[in-house]
Amino acid sequence: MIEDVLKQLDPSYTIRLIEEMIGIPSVTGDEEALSLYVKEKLESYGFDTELQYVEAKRPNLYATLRGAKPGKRLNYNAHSDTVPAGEGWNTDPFNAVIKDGKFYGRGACDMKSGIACTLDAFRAIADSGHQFPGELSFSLVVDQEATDIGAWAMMKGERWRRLDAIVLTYSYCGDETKPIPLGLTGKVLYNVRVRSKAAHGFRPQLGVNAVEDAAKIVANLDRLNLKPHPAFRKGTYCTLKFEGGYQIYSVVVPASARFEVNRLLVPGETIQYALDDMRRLVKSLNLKSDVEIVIKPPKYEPYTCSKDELIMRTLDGVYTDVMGRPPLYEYAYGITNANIFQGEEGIPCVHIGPQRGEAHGANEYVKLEWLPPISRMYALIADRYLSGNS
Amino acid sequence: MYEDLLKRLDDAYAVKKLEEMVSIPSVVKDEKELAHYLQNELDKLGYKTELDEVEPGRPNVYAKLKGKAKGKRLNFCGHMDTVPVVVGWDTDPFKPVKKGGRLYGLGSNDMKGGIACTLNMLRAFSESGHPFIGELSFAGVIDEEAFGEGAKAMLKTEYGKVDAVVLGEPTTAEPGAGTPLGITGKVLYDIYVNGTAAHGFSPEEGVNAIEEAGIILANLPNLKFKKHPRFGQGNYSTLKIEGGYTVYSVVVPATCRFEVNRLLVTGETAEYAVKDMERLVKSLKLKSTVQVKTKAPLYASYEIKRSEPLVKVFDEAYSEVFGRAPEYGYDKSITDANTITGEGGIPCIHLGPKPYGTHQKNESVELDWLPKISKANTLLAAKYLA
Repeated sequence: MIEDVLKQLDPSYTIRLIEEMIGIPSVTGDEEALSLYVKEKLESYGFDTELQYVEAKRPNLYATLRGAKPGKRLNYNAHSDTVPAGEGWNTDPFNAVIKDGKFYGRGACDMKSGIACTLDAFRAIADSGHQFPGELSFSLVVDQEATDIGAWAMMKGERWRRLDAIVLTYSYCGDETKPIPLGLTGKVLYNVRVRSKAAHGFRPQLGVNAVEDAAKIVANLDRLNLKPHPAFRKGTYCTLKFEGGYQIYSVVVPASARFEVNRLLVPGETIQYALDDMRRLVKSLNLKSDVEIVIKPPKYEPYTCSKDELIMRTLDGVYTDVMGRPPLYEYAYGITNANIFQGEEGIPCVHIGPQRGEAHGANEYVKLEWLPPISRMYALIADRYLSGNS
Repeated sequence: MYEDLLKRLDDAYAVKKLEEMVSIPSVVKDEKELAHYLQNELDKLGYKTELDEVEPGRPNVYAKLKGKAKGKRLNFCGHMDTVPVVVGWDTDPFKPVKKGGRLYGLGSNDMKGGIACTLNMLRAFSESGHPFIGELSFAGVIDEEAFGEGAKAMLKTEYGKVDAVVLGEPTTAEPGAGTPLGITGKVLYDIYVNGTAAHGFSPEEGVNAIEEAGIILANLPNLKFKKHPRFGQGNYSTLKIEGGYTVYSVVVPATCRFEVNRLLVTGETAEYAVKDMERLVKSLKLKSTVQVKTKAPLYASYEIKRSEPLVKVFDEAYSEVFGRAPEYGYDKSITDANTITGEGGIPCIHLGPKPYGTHQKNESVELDWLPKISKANTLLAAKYLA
């Protein structure tokens, strides 16, 4: 009975898992140790596990619990990597600290608490002996914070392409801070190379300064034509990197410069549209330099998901029961592996996880009060979706 | 007049010394071997020499010859260092090659050609025993192509108190390429832009330091360049920018740094330049905090008068050799004169071979210029120390 599962949920267990996982740094590229930790946990619950090495020392982890009868296939997904620590922390980013009801550490909300709540729910399901038809699985993929080689590798596997639904345990908590996504923006990464003519830096008028021309483009990015969408509003852009100039000091007008801009796309804006838009902007600036614009991986088309999808209806019911109110929805600005799972492969996806705090920033945190309801929701979603009780 | 000196000039000697010097690599930081070579050559000529270590392993070399009585002190100064090798040389930059009336090699023009003509003149003085009043000296300095530490060190020695200096930089005083009576100063802005990090998908939650740096750069034309009757206006050139992720991640960059070279005319100090940039930044009403710092090297501008004794003597010597008066100008550039004159207050005159391929591949010197420079140096020294 599902009540047996819910009784076995243990918030203190979840807290211990989060603390241990924050203490295993897993910055993009270094996911192996965390993957092995989670594998060991799932094996102890009785799940069948499998590692898929996407690159040396970088494995995806899959774990499966088969029901007694055939049925639907439901997967809970997370990414094992975090962004780097960065500057400005008040505490050690890899030594979890609880203060004022918040768990501080790199990955606290993005997304080791989602993993921990899933593990708590799965342990409760396995330990209670709760029966369900079909297949309940877990996937922990590498590289989501970079170029998604983990999710792409997962979708090469035929058995994963045949999933009926995926619950992404990212920190979308269904309130006004982070409504449940009914669709996600797409994304392109512009790589812009500016080439010009060198000259002695004391006679700049004899050359063309590639850094200054590149800066003119960056200063005018607000003139990109961001198409409005009835549900999404407009896309966004963000310059991520800029480099140009001497390697060893010398007074030379720089002949080359390069910068990268991240752009989120709304439905109606294709990757080609985005490329043409940047070309138009650059042309309008009448620069003397040569400018080459290329889309650098990773790139994603935007997608939308219907409220009538079974998994979406299941989430709606579970959320309302646990939280006492229906979730808020939106068409979200962000990229998750759902852009690949649903956007590319058409597998219905929902996102649900604890409320996030300062994701990607210094002093990232998750509020402890979110952990019990999320674990509860994960258990209820699995039960209702697989047993047909939605 | 001065026939005793002029007949001792040996153009083949000058070319030989130039070839030997080109064959001794002396890319900035590696001047030591060339300094020892010059000391050895000047010892052979009978000059009183010394080495002075400016930085570990990097000595200046000095040489002097005293005249019959105390009088004015004239120094011929040249930088021993060259820029690094750039890509694309047709020949080995350290193996001098004669072709089409030119000698190719790194530093042939900037400025081993000038030093060779100076050596020619110094040899003529010591071999002829020509009587003069005062002191004739040579200074070979390090680091002109980087931070000017050699010239700065020279000012701290007895050679920092000479009455006049001749620099053998490639400068021909021809129409359209006058020899400078003044040179701009220089400041290197080092600007730090500090924004706020955030997830790159919600950029409005952060402040993008790169985009705000871009706004500053796009507005550099709004810097206030004072108009000077002789220099015209200064200029600027952005030399470098860096900002953004080290390992790819979609984060609003919280910091960005860039450097801008600015040439200053007389009346514009480094403080003026910094305040000007701060004013510009403030007017842009950015969300970031911006620190306007400066970075070495820093040079003062200078001007000398046309009526300066050194200039009058140069005028005469040049006219005798070239059959026309020299052209003068006000240069937008930096040489050791910024230190020697700008900081040290010693009047400087530049005279050297025609610039060709300076700081580029296949640098060369026109061999026809060398005898004329040697002769002009000789007449200048003789008249100044008469």
